[in-house]
Amino acid sequence: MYNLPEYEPNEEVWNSIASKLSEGALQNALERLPSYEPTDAIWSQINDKLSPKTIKFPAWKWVSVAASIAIIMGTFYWLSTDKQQIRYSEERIDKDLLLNPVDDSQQQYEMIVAYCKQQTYVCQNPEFVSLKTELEELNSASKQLKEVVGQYNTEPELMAQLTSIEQQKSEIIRKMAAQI
Amino acid sequence: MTEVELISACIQNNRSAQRILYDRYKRAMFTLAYRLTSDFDDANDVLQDAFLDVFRKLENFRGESTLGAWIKTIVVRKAYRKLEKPKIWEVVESFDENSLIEWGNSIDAEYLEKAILSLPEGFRTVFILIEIEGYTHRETAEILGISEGTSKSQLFYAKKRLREILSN
Repeated sequence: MYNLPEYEPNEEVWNSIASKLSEGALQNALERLPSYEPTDAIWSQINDKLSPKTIKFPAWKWVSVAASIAIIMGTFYWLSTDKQQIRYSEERIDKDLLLNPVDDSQQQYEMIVAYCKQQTYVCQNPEFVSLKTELEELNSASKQLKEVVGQYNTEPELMAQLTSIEQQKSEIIRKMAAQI
Repeated sequence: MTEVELISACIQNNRSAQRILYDRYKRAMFTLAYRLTSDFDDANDVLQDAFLDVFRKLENFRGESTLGAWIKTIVVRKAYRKLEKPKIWEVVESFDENSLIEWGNSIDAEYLEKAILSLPEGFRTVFILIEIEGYTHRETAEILGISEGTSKSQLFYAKKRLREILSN
């Protein structure tokens, strides 16, 4: 054990000790330096920044969200209920109710007009002219009524009017034919 | 509540625990921040930023130093960044590390405080970290990003300037 080597400290060690010893007054003063207290406002600011920010959600946005949810749920409900209850109706055309595309009275009227171009004497008779004027008015009325009735004569009142007009036209044509 | 329990509660974002930790260290850290910045407003900013960092990064604390030392390092770094023009290193002539400065028999602490605050930034920062906060030159050099030689020379001339101020 006594043969173990010994070591000499570096000269800097003493210099450092001497330096610190000479700084006794400084070290004493450093230990007595004042300290300072932060204001309470600092913690308040830290607390605010640590708190998770709550996002303000306006009332109108809540209403929008609620309305959107209601629409979505309503759509789902409608799809899940009405989808399996498809209603349909079928209509068939009754040929007997269709209007005759060929207007007989119109053909007869055109024949009378063609006759009048050749035999002007009879056609200039005031009574004949009056009948012709009345027939033209009935033709116009019949044409308008047919446009209103359309292809499917589903309105009984209109059909009754049309029938009445056609009867009047037939009667007038019969009178005009008698004069010819 | 032990320090380990306190740290754990703070990591869980327990605000009461965070307040306890803040109260425990606020005075020492505020004083350090004030001395480094020599301005109370800047010290307020430094303290706030530092403790926000502390609470947000506390889970990274590995216990390799005391909690106080860990927080102190954060404060020092924040204060160092706070200095607007960090041309803090005074050009100093070569110096003898072993030359002694005579300090007399007693120094008034209040007067010493004012003298420290009047030092140039480089002198003041190194003096505070080494002589008041107990950092070594190596630690100081690492924190401030300077060489150990620069740290030693800044400290020597800081003391020399202080002595001159105190003598007047």
